[in-house]
Amino acid sequence: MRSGDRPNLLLPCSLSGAVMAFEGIRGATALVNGPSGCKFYVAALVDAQDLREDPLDLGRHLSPLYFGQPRVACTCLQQEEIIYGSEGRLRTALEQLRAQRPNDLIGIVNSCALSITGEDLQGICREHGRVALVETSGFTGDLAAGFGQAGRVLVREVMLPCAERRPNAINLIGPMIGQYNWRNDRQELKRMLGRLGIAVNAVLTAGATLEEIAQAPRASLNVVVGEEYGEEIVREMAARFGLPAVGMEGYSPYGIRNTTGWLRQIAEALGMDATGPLREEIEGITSRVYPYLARYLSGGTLKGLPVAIFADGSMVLALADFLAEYLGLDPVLLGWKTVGRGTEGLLQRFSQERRLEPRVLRRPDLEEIAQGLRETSPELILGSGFEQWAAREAGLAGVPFLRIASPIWDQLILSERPFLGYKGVLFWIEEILNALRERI
Amino acid sequence: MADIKLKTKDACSVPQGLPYGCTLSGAFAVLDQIVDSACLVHGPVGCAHLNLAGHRSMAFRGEKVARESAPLRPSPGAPLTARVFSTCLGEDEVIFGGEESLREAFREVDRRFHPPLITVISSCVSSVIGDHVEGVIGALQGEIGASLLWVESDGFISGGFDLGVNQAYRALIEKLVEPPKTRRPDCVNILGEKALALEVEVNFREIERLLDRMGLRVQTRFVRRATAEGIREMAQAAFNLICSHETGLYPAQLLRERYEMPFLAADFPVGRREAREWLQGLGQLLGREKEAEKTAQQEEEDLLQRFDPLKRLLAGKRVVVNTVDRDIVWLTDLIQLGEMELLQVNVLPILQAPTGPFPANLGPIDPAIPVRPVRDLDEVASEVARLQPDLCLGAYRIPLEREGTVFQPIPMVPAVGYRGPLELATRWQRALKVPYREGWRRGRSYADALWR
Repeated sequence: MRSGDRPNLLLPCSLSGAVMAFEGIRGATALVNGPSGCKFYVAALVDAQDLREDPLDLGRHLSPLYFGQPRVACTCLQQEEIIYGSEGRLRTALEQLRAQRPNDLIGIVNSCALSITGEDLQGICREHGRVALVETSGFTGDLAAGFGQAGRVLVREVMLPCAERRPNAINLIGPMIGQYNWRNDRQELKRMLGRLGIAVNAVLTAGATLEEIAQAPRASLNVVVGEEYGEEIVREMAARFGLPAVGMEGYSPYGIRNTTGWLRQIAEALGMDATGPLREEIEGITSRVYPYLARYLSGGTLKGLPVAIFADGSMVLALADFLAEYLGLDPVLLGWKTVGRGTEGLLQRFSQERRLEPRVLRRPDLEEIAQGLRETSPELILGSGFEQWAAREAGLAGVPFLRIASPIWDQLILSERPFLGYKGVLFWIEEILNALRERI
Repeated sequence: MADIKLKTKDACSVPQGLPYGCTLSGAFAVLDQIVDSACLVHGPVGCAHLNLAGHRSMAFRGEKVARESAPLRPSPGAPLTARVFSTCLGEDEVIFGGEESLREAFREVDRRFHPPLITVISSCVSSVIGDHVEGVIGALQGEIGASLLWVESDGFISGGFDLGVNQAYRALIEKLVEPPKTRRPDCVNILGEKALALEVEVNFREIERLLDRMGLRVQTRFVRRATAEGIREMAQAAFNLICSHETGLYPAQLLRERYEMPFLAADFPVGRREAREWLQGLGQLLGREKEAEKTAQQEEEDLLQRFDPLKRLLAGKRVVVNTVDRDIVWLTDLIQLGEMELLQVNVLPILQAPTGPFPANLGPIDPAIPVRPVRDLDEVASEVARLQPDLCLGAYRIPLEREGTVFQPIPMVPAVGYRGPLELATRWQRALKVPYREGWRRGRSYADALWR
């Protein structure tokens, strides 16, 4: 039941990942071909993470298509459709959705039971214009897997081959609307790349337009942000369009060193010299934070402070490296919600370079998290609402907690405060110093 | 006691004729509330996750709503809610079967946590591939320390959310509740509290307060933060109370059939009129009618005293109510209590097919109140624009903003008892004190942002 290879109970399934891939695109909409129970939670999450309309439209949302929610349409299948097929309901839903959204790409995501019964839905899809179908579903993997599955469908069915590429233009592969601070992170990535003279051709898929997705092969390079979400897509794009990719080795861009390393990778791949702009960025940030770090950390009271971090594996390791190397904290407990191909290798690198041996939980459940917290006694916890819950279960409700990963149930983000990049450094230092203020 | 037709105040809005949600989710909503048990979802990981995440997120918000309430833990160190697990069925299990995964899961949960009870809910996948959950339990029970309880749900295949709730209730009552060794005359059970309702603890506190006034205490909340032992002993209570007939009537009937337990055939009361009737019903069940009448009178006097300061601002205010086709007697009574002028009730029928001429399904409201059935939100908006009320109470938002009218929501699940509506009136008073139209509503351009 519980093993490192098993999916994580605390993470949505691949159906949710596929839905979020489509819903992140402006000009696309997801249609869950399944029961309303499958779509309810992911629809709530999508609405919370990518709030688009207010006030709630009772007339539209109360229809069977949306089942009382603003986002994510659904065929709302009943038991008869398992036995006799879902064709009728799917046709009806497509017609209704097409009437509301005549030009959108409709991304159909099959639920588990439909995948087992194995209906042939491609024919129906072809009758209704721009429709893409993700046939595999919930039991084939986790959120990241589903995002990759939908991404591959986009590569095959939406992206257009191109005669020439845009020089110094890249695609960002991996940002998705299910990531807690996606909007700010996307903005910071674009800003930093802009400073280097690099244009962002398309983002797959958070906040992209359908046209950008279609033109993605025009970029000169794919850049992965978060290996768990980007790997499958860049492999498919490499096979189909010959696009090279970077960003799957090394740390994700959290913290000064890791951000600089990540940007240098990109610049080198494009044959650019980024030394000047990077130096300015680094000097700008370090001159800003240095007085505060000198004032509050030089006494050494926070040195070696035990920290627990829970998020996607790539984010956890990059943050662990930043907190250890730059701030002198001690990441004693790492909880990986997703695990990519390179995650274990990156852990080894972290341990060797930092000479630290954190306890690692791979796709833990609530009980494992609570037990890990009890046994490692962190004095600062970074995570999602689940870890906040588990911390209370473990008797650590009084330990400062920073919200860094989805799902977050009690705090929204409006201000410009990315987690990634150079400006993300300001966020981390501000939040950590404020959280531990009484000690310093 | 004869079953009377109960009112619908807190029915959720569901498209007509469509069983909503899935049976698994309904069963989970019940079983997750047995705090010392483990709940095993036999299906792909997504089924467990979405229910777990949904419930934990609502519990988070609900605890903030009721933070000043009674202690949240049934006993020190006990978890707030059940431990949740999944058999994580994947492609291999879909092809070769998931029964071995189920057996492993039972053994692992029992070994790690030694819960007194492990409940298991089946998903659509386990049903389609034909896993025989009951057979696995039958073969395994002898070697597992915990009691194993299966709730047949089959994901969405059997039906909707409500069916899952009832399936869980039935399984618990038939297989867990024990015949009473004795009856405790001062104890009652509460049936049918909705785990996902934010107000559930706030409402419980008010009911507990009223019960305490009658010398009664709550033995078991079925099922809300209950223990396996508490459920086993349920039949020892004197009688049962129903939170809401939609969820509470079915278990009440089952318990009456099996253990001759009487129940009060009334939802948790909202407002003073229903609260009086509810207390009178309690009095009849206890044979203490006079005491109940006196309690009701004292409560009403207390309410009027607390309400008095609110009337300074509310009295004379002109009100329009925009509602759906459900009972609103408590609301019209509250408006009357505030000495406000109710101009009109607009009714948008979205909950059910009309059961008769208006205003029958609004409850026995004053026949002098003008009631207007409306077709759509635009018609509601034009009525509000015509009537120009000071306060517009709505079960839904309308496409209208009007200087001089304050818009306030009607809660889908109204807070109960005497104190619940009092809190709502307090919010009306606060809203009427501040400038009618906030700056942010004036638009996004610089010119619009200037004060007009």
